[in-house]
Amino acid sequence: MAETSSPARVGRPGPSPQKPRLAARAVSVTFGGVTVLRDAAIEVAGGEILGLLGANGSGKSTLVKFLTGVYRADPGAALTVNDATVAVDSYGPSRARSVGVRVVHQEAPLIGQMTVAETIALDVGFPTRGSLIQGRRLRSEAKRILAAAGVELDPDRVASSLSAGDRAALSLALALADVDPARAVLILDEATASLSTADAERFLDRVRAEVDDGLAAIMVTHRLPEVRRYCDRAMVLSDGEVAAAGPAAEFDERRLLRAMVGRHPREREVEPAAPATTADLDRGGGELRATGLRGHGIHGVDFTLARGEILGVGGRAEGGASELLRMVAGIDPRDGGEVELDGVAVPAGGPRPALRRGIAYISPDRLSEGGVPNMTIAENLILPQVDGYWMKSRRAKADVERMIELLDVRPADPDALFGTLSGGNQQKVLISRWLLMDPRVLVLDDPTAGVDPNTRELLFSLFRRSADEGLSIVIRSTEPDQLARLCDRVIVLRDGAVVEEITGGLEHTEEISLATYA
Amino acid sequence: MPATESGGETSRNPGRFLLDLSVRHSLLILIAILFAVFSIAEPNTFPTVNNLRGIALNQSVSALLALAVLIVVVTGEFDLSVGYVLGFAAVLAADLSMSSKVGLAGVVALVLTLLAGAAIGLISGTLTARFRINSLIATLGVGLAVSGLSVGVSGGQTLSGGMPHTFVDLARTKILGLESVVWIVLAVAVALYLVLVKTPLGRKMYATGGSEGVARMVGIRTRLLKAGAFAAAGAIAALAGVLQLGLSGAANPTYGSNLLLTAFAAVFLGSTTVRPGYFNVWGTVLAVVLLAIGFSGLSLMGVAFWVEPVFDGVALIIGVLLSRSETRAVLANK
Repeated sequence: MAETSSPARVGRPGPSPQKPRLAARAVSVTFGGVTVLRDAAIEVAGGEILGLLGANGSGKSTLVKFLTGVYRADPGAALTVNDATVAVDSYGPSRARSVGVRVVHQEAPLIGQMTVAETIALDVGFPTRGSLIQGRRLRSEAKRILAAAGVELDPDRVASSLSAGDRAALSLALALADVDPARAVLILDEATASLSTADAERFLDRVRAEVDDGLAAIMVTHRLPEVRRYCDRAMVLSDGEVAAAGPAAEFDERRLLRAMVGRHPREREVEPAAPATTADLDRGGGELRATGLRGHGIHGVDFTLARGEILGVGGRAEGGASELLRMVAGIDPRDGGEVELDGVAVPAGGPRPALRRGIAYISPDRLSEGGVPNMTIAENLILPQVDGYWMKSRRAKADVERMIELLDVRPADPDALFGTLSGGNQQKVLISRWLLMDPRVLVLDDPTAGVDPNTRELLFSLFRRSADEGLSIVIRSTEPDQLARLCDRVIVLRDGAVVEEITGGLEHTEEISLATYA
Repeated sequence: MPATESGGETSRNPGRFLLDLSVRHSLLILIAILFAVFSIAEPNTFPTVNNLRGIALNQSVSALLALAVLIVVVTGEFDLSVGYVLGFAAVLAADLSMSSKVGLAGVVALVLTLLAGAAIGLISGTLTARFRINSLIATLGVGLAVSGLSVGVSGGQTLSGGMPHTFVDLARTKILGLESVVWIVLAVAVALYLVLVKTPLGRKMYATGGSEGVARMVGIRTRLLKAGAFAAAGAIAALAGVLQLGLSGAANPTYGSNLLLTAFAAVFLGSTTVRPGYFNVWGTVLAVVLLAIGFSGLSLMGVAFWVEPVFDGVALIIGVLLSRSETRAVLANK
């Protein structure tokens, strides 16, 4: 049942230290007869950050979408903001904004060719005289709004040139534009999921500063260290209900995982993946060998990957790790260098030659380079081998069902559309797609971004098991501790070159972090 | 995840199930309704063998053109040139075979014309897939150029007379009481259906249309596939042109361009039914039939000829509106 250390009851997060800025009670959301959120309650006071955790599909997003006015709650829900009761049946996005509820999403919806100043003006209105835009006031307004949020950005920069960290900072400035911190509630909806650890810290430091000025904040995240470091309280949703709540400092990985899965025996609790062992790897004759790779910001990278080895690639977002992975998998052309598998060169020129040799790649961009959104799970699973499965629908069906079972894909319905799945389940489908192909080398670019901890552990133990059976894995992650835990070896890239090679194992987390952010 | 609880299936009410079923077969139901209404309104002229055969004959070329449009749309591109290719093919086949002109044997002229259609499609496909020109722009350019060629080949006149009997035989030979053109269109539709739904090739085409980036990532040769789709569409449009020549006995260089929008309308209207949300063969064919029956009935009731495109356009918009899930939800709750 409920995992609470204090006498708080189910459906009630621990009492806030002060009068709540925002309080919602009895929030249920039902779609077409299916209840996705059941009688949830949430409270947040000024000057505190509430961490909101839960597995993919646990109801976090639904609760956030209720608070931001995107989804309607079932009758009976109550919402008060700043002590004023808000009518729930007429609560929409603009109403939410006007009562002071602001949100930062994971991916800032920016228009590539617009400048920072224009992007801000789209939100707050263009300063005009007559009906013409006043360029100078446009810039000064933008500067003022950026400064108010503590964000340093040139208002003339074009949105498409911003780094992930800059985009997040801009979104924060937009969300906080012209709000009174003493009356507003900021919701971070997995705002740090696609940021590197360093960018995430910079971002959350700014949020913390605003909160110390009186802002109330709710933070949806999968990253437990962030919760422990930045949040005052935390609550965990499981299957649409509040499963645990309490002071953030009391949550550790174990307790969190148990709260996320504990209520439902159907949900498989996964043992945290076994840490890497480097002892029995055959280092002689690296199976995959990259020499002198260059191009796309990579300046001469060499590495080898033994059979059954898991190699981590770390470094900051702009360090070249993603580019290196794409080059190894043949996705992007290379200006120079060789990739060899078993001593035979793998030609560059699209994913096909690499795929033929058994090198499979998983992109961090699950929708445009992962699965076809309007095709089913089954269709996506067999897509790379669709020729091989022709006229073998029974085998295809059996294989699809086996993979759905193995990776615990939800819903376990082969005919569900890929685009309707949660991020974690999409990732499971993509990984099972390649495992079904029985590849030699699996190249994974940030496979656990936006994936809940339970799913992450499931994936990690699957990677470990596959590696033990001979699969070689290259994996990039922005989280040094995850790399340290999973990988036999980690190379850290900076400015397109390898600056450090570190043996895996949790005790080396510090080393990897230092090499990454030095 | 609560959405996966077994309750999801059972809590589905029977009304919603019926609604889903009716959406899947919406065009078929509409066709039946229109048929009944017109049969009652015009009992002496509408539900007659002659009228229905006339509809089938008149619409076979439109249906074929819609199938040409469909092939390319499935891969996520648009081919605006197929209407002009249709006109060009009619003129070219006539020109190649007329005794007063090149004077080739009918079959040879037919094969050359189909190859020319495929070649034009291949040009559009190469411009789109290889040189990454937006397909609307590329095929607009190709279409314009082809319309000029049609005038060049024909000298701007309708070509007739002095042609071998091949084209008329191809289109008008009676098989089981129906002209061969109808059977040809049905054969193309069945073949296309099998390719799109039952073969890996079709799966790859839908994947390419659904997300080209994903298709590329799983090793599908998307560029080759798209170029191939354009070439096939060009050949089918050319076949439609030759059949038109056989039906009318004359080649009008401007014929075809006015069929283009209706063909697109049929493809989009068709995507609302049979397999809602996906461009599909039988939806497209049903849409052509619906538009034809609607117009035939209206004209028998005495409406002016300009009503046809108005009817087609309004039918497309209403059809697409009704197929939207929001609209369905609103209807289900009322």
